[in-house]
Amino acid sequence: MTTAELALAAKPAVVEGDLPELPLLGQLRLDLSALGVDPSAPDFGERLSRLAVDNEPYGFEISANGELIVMPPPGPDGNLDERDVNDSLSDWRRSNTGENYTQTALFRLQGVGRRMPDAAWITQERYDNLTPRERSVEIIGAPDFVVEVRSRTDSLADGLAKMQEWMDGGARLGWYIDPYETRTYLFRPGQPAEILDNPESLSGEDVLPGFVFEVRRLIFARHGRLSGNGD
Amino acid sequence: MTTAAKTPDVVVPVDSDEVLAMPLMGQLRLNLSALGIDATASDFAERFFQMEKDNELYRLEFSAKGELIVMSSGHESNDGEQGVNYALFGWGLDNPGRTYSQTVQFQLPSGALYMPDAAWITQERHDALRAGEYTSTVPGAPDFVVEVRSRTDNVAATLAKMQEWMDGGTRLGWFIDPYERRVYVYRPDQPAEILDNPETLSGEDLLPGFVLQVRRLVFDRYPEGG
Repeated sequence: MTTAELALAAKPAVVEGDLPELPLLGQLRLDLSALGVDPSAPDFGERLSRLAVDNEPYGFEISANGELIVMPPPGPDGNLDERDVNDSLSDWRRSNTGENYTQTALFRLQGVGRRMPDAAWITQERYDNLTPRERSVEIIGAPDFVVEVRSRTDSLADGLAKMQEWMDGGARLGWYIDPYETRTYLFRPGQPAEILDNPESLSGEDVLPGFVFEVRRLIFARHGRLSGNGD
Repeated sequence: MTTAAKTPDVVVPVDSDEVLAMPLMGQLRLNLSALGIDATASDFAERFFQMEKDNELYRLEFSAKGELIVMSSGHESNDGEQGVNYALFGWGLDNPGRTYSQTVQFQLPSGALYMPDAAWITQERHDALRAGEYTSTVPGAPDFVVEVRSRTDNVAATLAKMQEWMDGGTRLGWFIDPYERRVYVYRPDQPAEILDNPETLSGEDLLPGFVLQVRRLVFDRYPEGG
């Protein structure tokens, strides 16, 4: 056999099924400053978008201190919670105002941070005044309302830190939904997060009047069924 | 408003097994060309070395194609390397040249920045390095290089790396696969020779007298059958 054939025939060094399809299991942070990567460059948003295209299926964000955050793809099940938040938010928006965004929208925060929300909404006035570049590359400033749902591989500390970056960037209402602890953290400007244990629903308060998200039925219940059957 | 919202006042315990200290299993390859990195800059190797220090949670390499290769570091990385380095170091004590273990970065003519599991350069090259300015990186491929397959290594990727070492000027290369008890011996301009479960490997005329007890020092330290 040639080396190429042997390489193909070589059995995996780990037990079958032990080695994941993709090597990345959770978020990875890299400090690239030594290589001259400058997130404050005017075209960095465009570069970050191209980076994502060049490195499918990974996702990329920039933290407040300029680190590149590499994220694994969510996988088929990893998007269900976000989908339900986005469906409800879209329903509300259709009979109200503003625009809502899903995971593909890039927001530029204060400083160099660039983040993608699981779900977000901005006011009609802001939407109407977005520049062409904001519409095609990155929206300047945090969304007015932002939701993050903890995924299986997210560390709670990273998730809460990201929420803090959203709030520091000007978000007026933020929800961090943790299906694994059936808990939601409500972030409002200038206040410590309020923790709700197993709430039935969440309110859009005066930022999104009339918006109610049935978090227990739409998210917690699914995870409850999973852990009930799976373990 | 000076009191920006801080992390919640209530401390929430997190199940430790839900937090991934090491989110990597194997190699992550990223194409960073969109970020405008200039790998042809004369100080690129120095910058890369600094970046390794800035990201010490990972082992980093840079391929000739311009990919950043991110690998997990940690105790599991390799039992076999230890045996190889022990033997090579012992031989090096009584012979000319300089031996290296995993911590040294080499810059290939292709621009790639790689770290071998074990390597050796001639005395002549070593003298030239010592006479020159301090650099973090050894220019050129090692004269002799060894890679030992680790638990999460992909064989095809490692064979490709061996070929890059050889294309960069390495004169003898061993890829030791303890999981298959097999060694691929690389010599310039020849297809790799495959040895199944050899007892020893010879340094041939490049490292005269160097014999690696590969079965005892590497294969036998792994569970039977890998």
